[in-house]
Amino acid sequence: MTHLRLDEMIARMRVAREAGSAHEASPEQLQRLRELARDCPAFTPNLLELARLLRLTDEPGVDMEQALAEIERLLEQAVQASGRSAPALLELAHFTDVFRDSPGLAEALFEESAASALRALENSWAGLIDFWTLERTNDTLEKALKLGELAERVFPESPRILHVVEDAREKAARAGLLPRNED
Amino acid sequence: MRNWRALLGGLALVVGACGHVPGVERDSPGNGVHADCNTVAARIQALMAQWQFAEAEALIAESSAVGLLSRPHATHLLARIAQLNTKLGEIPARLQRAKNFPSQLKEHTLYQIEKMMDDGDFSLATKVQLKEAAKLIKEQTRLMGKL
Repeated sequence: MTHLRLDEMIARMRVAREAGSAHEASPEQLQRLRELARDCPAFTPNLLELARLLRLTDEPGVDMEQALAEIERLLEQAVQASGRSAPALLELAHFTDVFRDSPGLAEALFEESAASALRALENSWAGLIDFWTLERTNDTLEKALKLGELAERVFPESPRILHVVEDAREKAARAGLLPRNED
Repeated sequence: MRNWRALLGGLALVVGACGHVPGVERDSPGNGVHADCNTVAARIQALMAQWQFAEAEALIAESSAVGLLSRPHATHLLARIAQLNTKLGEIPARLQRAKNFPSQLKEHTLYQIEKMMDDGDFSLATKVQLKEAAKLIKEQTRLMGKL
C-alpha cells in the first residue's frame, strides 16, 4: 500500500473545504473528508475537522445516534493518533459533556487536556526564555525576565522554569539589568 | 437609566489604548487610563450581569470608539452578547436532533434559559433540560469558532 504524502493530505482537505463551507458541510465535502479519514486514519486535523462538521451538518437519512457514533469514533481516533494531545482531548471532552451522559468522564478528559496543554506551555515558555537569554541583548533579556516572572507564578514547582529563569537573571545581572545582590 | 452615558462622558476625556488583558488589569494598581478602562469594563460587566444587553452594547461601541476599550475586547464582548441572545431553535438542525432535546425551549434565548436556572424556575423545563439547552447553544458557537 502506498502512503499519501503530507502535502497531498493537506491538499485533499483544502479541496474538500472548497467543495463546501466552514460551518455546514456539503455532501461532496463530507464524502471527501470521509475518504481521507479512511485513507489516512492517523491524520488528526482531518479527523477533527470531519467530527466538527458532522455536528453542524444535518445529513438526510442519518439519524442522530448513528451520527454521534461516527463522531465519537473519529474523536477517539484523533486522541489516539495524536498521542493524547490537548486539542484532540478537548474535542472529545466537549463531545462527552454535550452528547454523552457521563459528566465524570467529561471532567477527566477536560483535566487531561488541561494537563497536556500545561506541559506544552511549560516547555514552550522554558524554550522561549532560554532562547531570549541566549540572544543576550538588553531587549531580549528584559523579555526573558518579564516572561520569567509570569512563568514562575504559573509553574512555581517547575525545575525547568526555575532553571531558565535563574539563568536569565544571572545574565541580566551581568548585563547590568539587575542588581547582583538582591538583599 | 442613562447615568452610564454621563460616566462615559467623563471618562472620554482621558483617551488611551486599553489593550491589556481583562482579568490581569484587576491586579494592577489603578492609575490614569488603566483605572478608567477598569471602570468601563466593570460597568459593562455590571450591565451584562443585569441582562441589560442593549445598554451594554451601546457602552461597548462608545468606549471602543474613544479608545477606552480595545477592539479585540469589544469584539469578544459583542460575540458574548450575540451568544446570550441566541435562541435554542436557531442552532443547526443536527444539534436539535440530540436525544431528549428540550424543544419546548426553542423560542428561548440562552440568557432566558440561564435566568430560569438562576431563578430556580423549572415551570417550563427541568434543571437537566435547561442545562442541556444551554450546552447545545454554547456548543454551536464553539464549533463555529464564534467564541
